[in-house]
Amino acid sequence: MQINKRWFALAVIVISAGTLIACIPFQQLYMSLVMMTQSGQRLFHDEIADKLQLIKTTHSYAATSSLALVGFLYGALHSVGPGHGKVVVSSYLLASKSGLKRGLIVTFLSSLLQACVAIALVYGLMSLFGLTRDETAQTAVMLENFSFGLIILIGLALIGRGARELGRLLRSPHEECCSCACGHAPEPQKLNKVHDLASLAGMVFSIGLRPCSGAILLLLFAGLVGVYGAGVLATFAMALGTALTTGSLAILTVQSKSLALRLTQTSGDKLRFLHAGLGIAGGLMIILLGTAFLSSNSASAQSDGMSVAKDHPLMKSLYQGK
Amino acid sequence: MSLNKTVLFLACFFALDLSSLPAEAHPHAWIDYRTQVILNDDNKVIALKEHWVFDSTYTEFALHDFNKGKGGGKLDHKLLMDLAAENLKNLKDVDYFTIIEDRGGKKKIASVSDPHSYLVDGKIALDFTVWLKDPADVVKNKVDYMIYDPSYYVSMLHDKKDAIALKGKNASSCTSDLTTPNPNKATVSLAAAIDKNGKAPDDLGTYFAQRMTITCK
Repeated sequence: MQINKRWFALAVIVISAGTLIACIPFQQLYMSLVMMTQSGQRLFHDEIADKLQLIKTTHSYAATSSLALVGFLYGALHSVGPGHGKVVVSSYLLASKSGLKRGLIVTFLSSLLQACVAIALVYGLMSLFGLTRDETAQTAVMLENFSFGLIILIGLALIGRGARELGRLLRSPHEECCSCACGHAPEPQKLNKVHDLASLAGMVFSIGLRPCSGAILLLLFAGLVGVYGAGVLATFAMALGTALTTGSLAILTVQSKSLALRLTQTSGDKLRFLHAGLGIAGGLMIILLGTAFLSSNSASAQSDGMSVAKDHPLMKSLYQGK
Repeated sequence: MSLNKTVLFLACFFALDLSSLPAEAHPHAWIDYRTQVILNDDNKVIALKEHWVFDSTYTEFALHDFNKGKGGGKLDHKLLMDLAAENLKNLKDVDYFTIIEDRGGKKKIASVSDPHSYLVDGKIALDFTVWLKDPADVVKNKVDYMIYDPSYYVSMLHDKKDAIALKGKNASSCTSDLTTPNPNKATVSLAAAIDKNGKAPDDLGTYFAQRMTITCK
């Protein structure tokens, strides 16, 4: 249909232009956040060092819970700024028809997985199997790359879905989608469910496989001091904090989207076109992101995950004994 | 709200998403330092006595790792001295992160003396004195010095404004001044965008470095 095609072309242009324009006001807000993070980082380092020492000397419940609080706050605040979890979740929610419930499940499960991965890495590999910090870091980089690969796959899946939908709409814009599908496809509902579960798992793993650097630092520290339990507890508290922030963003994304759709009374073919377009745009964005992460990782890490730290004049001495 | 506005609105979210950064940013360690400027009788700078205090994280890793490497036991006086010697040895190629300039440009460092480490409030301190090859003339022109890590892996700042002391027979006629830069937001975010294993541009640290100026009457 002529009008729909023209509308779609317009939408694509507006999305690309809008992305560029919208960068300006957000950039300002984001910068102040970065400034805050810079000073916050030192505070975090100092706090966990102090609290762990306190736990070691006093064995007090209060010290343990205040470390957990530090972890929780770090998780909640840190995931506001950097990190790729929120990016994947909100892009996905925006680009797909997924609802709020699914978004929240993904954020919660992926934060939990993130904590488990960090614990398994630091305590499992280092303490049980005696891996050095270097080898552990290399494993972390490997996991990161794997999760970035998954991100790219999610992007591809989104694009595929969007393109299929678009193709269907352009072929027969008047037809209802279900009437043509129900006839020859067996049990489409069941198929959808399997497909959904796969993409849900993909989301959780793509976000959760990459351990949070703050959690690793905390666990390394706790291990050094010798208070493993408190480290694990604080790591889960951190995951809870992360889930809180990422979950809020998911809510915000889904609500704004439905509000926008309601206000414009977008429905029928237009809505389907919008979804198809968003799916393709979001998929592209997610692929771009995954590729950027992947290439920056391989550029900086090369063969050895900690090479920069190891070569630093003041860090060399710390690695000497290992 | 028109449909185009809707699309624009949604695009904003994508834009916000794009501004994501790697998780752990530069810097990764922090040093608070104090300096003593050693002047000769003619008020020429001959040496700089530096007192660095590492942050708790660095201290903790050093206490455990350096310890382990040397066969266990407490981090006693001897091990701390070994750590100081090791750090100074590794800092030699980067001029101990110390730049001293007069009108003629960067002054050459001749040697370093008396490196030693000890604990201050549970944190590792590193003291040493940097000796200049030729004295820097403060009477004829002002002398600047900076202490910083060019890669900004470590953030180094004077811990207090009065952390500069001038030592010498006629030092009373000299004054010191400290300028803390106000790096623009782009630079700060550049630093934030480099994660632990990332390589920083060679001069990133200069944007955050304090400049100390000595003038004598």
